Amino acid sequence: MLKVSSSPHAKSKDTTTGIMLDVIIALIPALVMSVFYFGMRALALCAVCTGTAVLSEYISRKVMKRNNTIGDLSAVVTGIILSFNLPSTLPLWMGALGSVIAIVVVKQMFGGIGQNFVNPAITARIILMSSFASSMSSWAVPFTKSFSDAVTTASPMALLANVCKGSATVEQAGLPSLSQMLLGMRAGSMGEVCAVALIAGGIYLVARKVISPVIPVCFVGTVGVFMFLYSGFDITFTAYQLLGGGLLLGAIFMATDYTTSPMTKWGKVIFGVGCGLITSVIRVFGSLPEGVSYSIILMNILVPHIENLTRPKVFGQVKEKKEAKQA
Amino acid sequence: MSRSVTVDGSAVKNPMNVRVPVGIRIQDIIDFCGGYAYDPIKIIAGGPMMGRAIYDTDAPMLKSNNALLAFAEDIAYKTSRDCIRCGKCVAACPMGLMPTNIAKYASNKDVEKLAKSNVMACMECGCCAFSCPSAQPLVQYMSLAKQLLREEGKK
Repeated sequence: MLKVSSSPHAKSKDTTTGIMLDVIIALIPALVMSVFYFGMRALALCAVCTGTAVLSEYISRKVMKRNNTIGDLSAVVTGIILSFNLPSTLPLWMGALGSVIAIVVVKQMFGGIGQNFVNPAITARIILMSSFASSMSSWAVPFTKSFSDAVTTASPMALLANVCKGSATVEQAGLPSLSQMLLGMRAGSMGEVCAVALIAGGIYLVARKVISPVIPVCFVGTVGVFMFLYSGFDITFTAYQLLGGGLLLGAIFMATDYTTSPMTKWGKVIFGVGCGLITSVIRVFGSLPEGVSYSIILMNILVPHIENLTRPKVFGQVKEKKEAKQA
Repeated sequence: MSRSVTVDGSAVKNPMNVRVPVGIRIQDIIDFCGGYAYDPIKIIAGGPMMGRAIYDTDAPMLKSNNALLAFAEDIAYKTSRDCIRCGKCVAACPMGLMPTNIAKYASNKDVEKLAKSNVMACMECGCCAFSCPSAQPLVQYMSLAKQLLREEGKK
C-alpha cells in the first residue's frame, strides 16, 4: 500500500515544541541571574508558576475533552514568563493563582494555543496587580536571601516616576548606578532585573530565527526616542528608562508572543511603535510608575485591525486593479 | 513526444535520469531503473514540493512531471498541531498571501472572506506548508479554498 498525502512532501524541521524549547533556553540566563540576586525564593516561585501552568493546562484540556497539549511546552513558557513578571517575595499561592488565570481563563477558554487574543502571562500579571496591589509591589533588595522576611525597597521605576513629576532630579532620586541597572543589581520583578541576561536571550532567539527583531527594536527604540526628547536630550534619564521596569523583558519575550502580535512585517513595526508610545505615555504622564504590561495588552487587542491594515501586497495585484478600472 | 525525468528516492535501485515518452506507465520506468531496492512507502510523480503522491504505479507519466520519486520511508512526516500564528507561512509566500488566514477561512467555509483573500493567486508551491512548525496541511487548505470559490461562482 502506498501512502498518499498533499504536497509538499518535504517539510522543515521546525516544530512548535522546538520553538518553545528555544524560548525556554533563552529565558534561562535571566532565571539564573534572578536566583543569583533573590535566592532560592525566586526559583521556588518560578517552579510553582510553571508547575501550576502545566497542571492547569492538562486538567482544563481534560475537562474540555480536548487532546492533551502539554507536550508543546507552551504552558511551561507561560509559567516561566509569568513568574518573571512577579516580585520574588510574592506568596507562592498568588503565583499559582496567576498561572491558573493565565492558562485556564485567558488561554484555554479561548480555544488553546494560537487562539488567545491577549498575552496570558501579562493578563495574569495585571489581574494579580489589581487584586494584590501591595504584595505585587513590594520589591526585595537583591542579596537578602532569607526565605520569608526579605527587606523591601522602592523599585527604580517608582523613583523615576518622582523624576518625571519633577520632585527630584536623576541624581537625587536615589537610583542604583547604571552599571547596577545593566547587571540587574536592583529591585524589581524577579525576571526583569538583569538587562544583560535578557538581551542575551533575545539575541539567541533572533539568531535561531524564533523571533524577528522588528518588534523589540521598534518597542525599545520608540521608548528611547520618546524619553530622550521628553527629558530634553538627557542620556542618563533615557538609559534609566530603557533599563528600568519590565521594558526589555516585555519587548523581547512578551510583545513578540506569536499569537498576540501581528504576522505581517509592517504590522510588527506598528505594533512595536505603538507599544513603545503607550509605555512612554503611561510612565511619564500616568499615575502608575510602569506601563509595559498595559501597553502590550492594549496593542494585543488591536492586532486583528493592524493585520488587516498591513496585509502584504499580493504579487501582481496592482496590475489587476488598473485593468479593472480600464474595463 | 518525450521528456527527461529524474528517477530517484531511497526505494529505487538505480537512480538515474531517463528520457521517456509522455504517457508511459510509471511501473515501466521503475522497472527500467532496476525496480525497487526496498518496498516503497510513498511514490511521488513530480518533485518533493509540488509533486503528487500516487497510489498506483499503473498511472501514466504526465507531460508536466519532471521527476519520479519513490521512498522507502515516509519522508517529512510531522504530527499536525494547532496554528500558533508564527507568521512563517506569511513570510514564505512568494505571492504575498496570508496562508494561515486562508486555511482558517477554508475550514470555516467562509466564502465571503475567501473571495477577498486572493487565494486564486496561489500556485501551490508548498513553501507555506514546508515552513509551518505546526505541520498544518496548508496546501490542501489552499486547494479546498479554490474549490469552495469555484463552487460559489457556479451558483
